[in-house]
Amino acid sequence: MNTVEIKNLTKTFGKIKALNNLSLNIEKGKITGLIGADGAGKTTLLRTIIGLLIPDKGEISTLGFNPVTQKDELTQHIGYMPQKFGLYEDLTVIENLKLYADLKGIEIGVNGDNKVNGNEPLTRIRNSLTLKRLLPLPQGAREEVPPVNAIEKMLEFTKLAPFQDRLAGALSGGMKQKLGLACTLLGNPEFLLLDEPSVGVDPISRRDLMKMVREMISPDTTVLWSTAYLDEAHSFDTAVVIDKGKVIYEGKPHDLAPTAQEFENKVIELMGGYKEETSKIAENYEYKTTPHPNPLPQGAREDIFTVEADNLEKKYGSFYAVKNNSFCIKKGEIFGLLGPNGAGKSTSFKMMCGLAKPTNGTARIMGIDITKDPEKARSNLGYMAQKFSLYGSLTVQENLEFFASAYGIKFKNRSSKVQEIIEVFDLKDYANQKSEELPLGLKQRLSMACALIHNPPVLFLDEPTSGVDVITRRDFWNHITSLAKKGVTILVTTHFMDEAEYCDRISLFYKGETIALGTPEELKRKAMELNPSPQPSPARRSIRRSEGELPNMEETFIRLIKESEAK
Amino acid sequence: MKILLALIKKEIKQILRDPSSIIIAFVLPLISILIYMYGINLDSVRVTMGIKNDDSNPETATLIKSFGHSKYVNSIYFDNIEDIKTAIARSKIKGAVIIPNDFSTKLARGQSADLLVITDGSEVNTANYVQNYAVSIANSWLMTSKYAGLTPRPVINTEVRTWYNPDLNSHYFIVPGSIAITMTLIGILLTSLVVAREWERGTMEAMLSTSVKSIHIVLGKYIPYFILGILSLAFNIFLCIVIFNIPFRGNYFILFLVSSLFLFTSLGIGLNISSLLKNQFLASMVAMSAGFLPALMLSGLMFPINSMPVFFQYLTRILPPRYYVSFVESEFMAGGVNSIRLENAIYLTILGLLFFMAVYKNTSMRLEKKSGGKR
Repeated sequence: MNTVEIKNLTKTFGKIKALNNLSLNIEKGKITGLIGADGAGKTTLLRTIIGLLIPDKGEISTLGFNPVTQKDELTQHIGYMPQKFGLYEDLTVIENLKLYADLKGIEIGVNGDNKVNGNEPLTRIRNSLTLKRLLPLPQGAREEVPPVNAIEKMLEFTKLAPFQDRLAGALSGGMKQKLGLACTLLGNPEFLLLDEPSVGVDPISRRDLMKMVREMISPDTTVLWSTAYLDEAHSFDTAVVIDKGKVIYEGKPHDLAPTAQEFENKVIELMGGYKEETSKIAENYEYKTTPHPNPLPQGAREDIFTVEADNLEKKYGSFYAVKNNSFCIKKGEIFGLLGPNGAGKSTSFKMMCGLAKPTNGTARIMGIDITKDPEKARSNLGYMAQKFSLYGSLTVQENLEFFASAYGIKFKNRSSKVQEIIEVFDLKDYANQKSEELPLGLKQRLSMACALIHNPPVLFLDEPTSGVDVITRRDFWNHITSLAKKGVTILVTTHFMDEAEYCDRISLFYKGETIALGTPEELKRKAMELNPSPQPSPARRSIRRSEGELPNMEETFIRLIKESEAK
Repeated sequence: MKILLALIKKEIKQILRDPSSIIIAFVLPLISILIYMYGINLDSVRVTMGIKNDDSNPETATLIKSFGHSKYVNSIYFDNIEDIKTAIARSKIKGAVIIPNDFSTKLARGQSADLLVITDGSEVNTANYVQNYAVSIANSWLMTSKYAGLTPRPVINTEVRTWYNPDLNSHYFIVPGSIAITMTLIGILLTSLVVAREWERGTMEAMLSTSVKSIHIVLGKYIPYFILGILSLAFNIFLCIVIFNIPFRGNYFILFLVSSLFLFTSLGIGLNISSLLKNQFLASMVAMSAGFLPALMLSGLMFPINSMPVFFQYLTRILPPRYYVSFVESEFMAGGVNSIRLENAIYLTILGLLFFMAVYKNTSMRLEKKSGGKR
C-alpha cells in the first residue's frame, strides 16, 4: 500500500519548472530519503504533497486524500517539518510544545492550568498532563504510545527537559531542530515529512534526530525525509533522487551501492557527475600580502604562522563562550574548527576577525594584532559568514562592486576586477539577478567571490557548505584545496565530517575549549585508543569494519566529545 | 475553540514578552498626550512687544500701563527705533507699538490720533495676534481714559458665548483626538507586523500543516490585539481625564463602545496590510503611510475637513479616523449627541466589517507563489 501516489505532476513558478511531469509512489511504513541538488524541486514536492502548493497539472493522493481539495482533512494525519521550522522564538520550549499540541488538536491537561514550574517540572507534567487525540483515529488505528507520557517523552528524547523553560530563540541550532522535530512528532502523525532537518546541525545532534524519528514512530508510519547528507539517505529504506523536477532514481539505497561513500559517488553520477577540474578560482589567485609598514621583529615569521590565536577568551557574564583558545596556522594550511552547535566556534571566528572583542588574549593575522590594528589585520582577510550576508536586493554584479569598493579596490581597477571575478566564478549567467533569488549553492559561491575579491592571503569560512548539495560541496572544496596550494591560509568550520578529512589539521572544540588538536589521522588514532572496539552507529550499521581499522571522522568526533563529556 | 484559545494564549505571551508592543500601547500615549498638551498650541499666545513713547503727555503713561497689564502681552520699553529694529530682527520681540509725539495733542483736540503698530510678517499668525492685541488694548484704554467721550456709543452690543469650550482651549479637543492616533498605531502599526512576522520566521508554514483553519488565524490575531487596544484606550482616557483634567461630558460606556468599533476597523487595516505583504519592513512602511498619516492629517484633528480640497474631503469618507475623531471630540466636549454617535458608529461598523471580511479572504491556507521561496 502506498501513502503517496503521484502521477504526472507539474508545478511551475513563472518560467521555472520546479516539478516536471513527476510520478512517484511512496510506500507506507517506510522511511524514504529525498535527495537532489539545490533547486531540484525537493521542497516544492513536499509542499505539494501536503497541499501547501497547488500543482498546475497531475494527480496526487496523500493518505487517500486529495491535497488540493481535502487539505483540512489531510493535515490532521500528517506531521510536516519545514526547512525553516516555525518555532516561536519568544516562547519557551514547553510553551512551543504545548502550542503545537493544541494546534494539532491534542488535548493536554484535563486539570486546567498546567503551568510548569521550573523546580519540579517533570513530576508536575507527569501528574497533570494527559494527552489524548480529540479527532477520531483513522482506520486501522495503531496502538498509541501511552498517552500520559507524550510531552514528557518528547522532552526526554530531545534531552530538552532541563531547558524546558528556556526561550526557543536562546537554544543552539541543534536543540532548535530537535524541538522542531518534537513538535512535528506530536500526536503520532501517520505520515511524517521532514525538509532537511539536519542542515547546520552537528553530528551528535544529527544522530539524535535520526534516533528520535526511528524510535518515536510506529512501524506503519511513513516518513519522507529530504536530506543533503547521503550517509543519512543511505540508511533509509528507500531513496528517491530528483533532478530538475524529475525522479531520476527510485529504489533501495543498498541496491545502488553497499557503502555510504560509494552511494554518494553513485548519486553524484546520477545527478550528472562531478568532474574535478583545475580550479579557475585558484588559478586566478595571486598571492600577495599588503606591504607591512614596520617589518616584524622576528623577520620571516609571518611566513611561518599566518594566523595565530593566542589564549583567546570570551566571557558573557560568568559564562565562558570561549576559553583559552590557542592555535597557530601555517601558510597554505587548511585548519578545521569542529565542534557541536554552541561550542563557541562562531564566537572564536568573530574574535579572530575583529568582529567581537576578546575578553582576554588576542589573535594575529599575518603578524598583525587584531585587537591593536583591526583594520590592517582585516585587510589581509577574506571572511565568509555563516548566514548569507550579502545584499539580497542587489544583483550579483552590484554585490561584487560593493565589496570591491568596501575592500578598497581603486575605482579604475574596479570594473575590470569585477568582470574577472564574474568570469572566474562562473557567475556570468546570473550577473544581473538579485542575489536573494539565487539557489543556495550559488549564493555560497557568490559569498566566496566577495570574500576573495581583494586577494586576501587568509580566508575564514564559517560553515560555507551548510545546506549545500553534494556536487556543489565537492566543487567548493576543490577550490578551497587549490587555493591552499597557492599559499592561502584557510580557517574553516563545518558540520560535514567527510569535509573534515580535507583539513590538514583540526581543532576539536567543545564547551568553549579545545579538546583535541591534530591531523585527522592523529585524532582518529586518539579516538581508537579511547575505545578500541567501536560500536557502529545505526546509520553506519551496514559498514563492516575490520578489527583495528581507524574509525571514520564522524565516529572520531563523537567519541572524543563523549570522552570529554565523561571527564 | 481549543485551537483558537491556544493561538490567543500564544499571542498574548508574545505581546507580554515584546517590549515594543507594550511601549506602543502604554508609553506612546503618554508621550503623545504630553506633546499635544504642551507642544502643540492652537490658541492665542502671549507675545512680547516693544513700546516706544514719543509723547511726553502723562496721559499716555496709562496707555503704556494698559499694555503692561494685558495678560496676552509682555511689553518691553524702548527709547530708540534702531533698538526696536534689532530686537525684531533677533525675534526678541514679535512687534512694536510706537506712540507719536502728537498723540495726546490730537486726542485732546478731538482729532483722530495715529498709533503705529509694527508686526513681523515672517510669522503671519503671530503678526495677526500682535495687531489684534494692540488694537484691542488701545481701544479699551480709550474707553477708560479721559478721552472716552470721543468715541461714539456702540450701536450693537455684542455678547460672545462659546459653547462646549468656553475658554476656547484647543487642548480640550486635541488631546482626546490623540486617542485616535494611539488607537491607530496599535491597530495598524502593531498588527501590520504580526502576520508578516509569522511568514518571515516560517511559523506560518508550520502552522498551515496543522489543524488550524483560517478563521482561527484571523481571530487569533484580532482578539489579543483588541484586548491590548482596549487596555491602552482605558489608559488613554485615564490620562486625559484624571491626569490632564480634560473635561468629559459624554458617556463612558458609549465612548468605549464606539472606540472599540474604531479599534476593530484599525485592526482590520493592519491585518490586511500584513497578510498581503508578508514582509515586516514593507508592512510597517505601508502602515505608517496608509494608517498613521491619514489619522493625523485627514481626520479633521489637525486641519478642519471643510477647508480641505474637495477630493480630500471625499477621501476622508473612507478613512475610519475621520469618523472616530468626529465622535470623540463631540463625546468629550458636547456630551451625548445621539445623531453624531449613531452616524459615526454606523460608518465604523460598516468599514470594520468590510476590513474583517477582506482579512478573512486574504488569509490563505496555502503558500501559493511566495516569492523568494526555495523550490
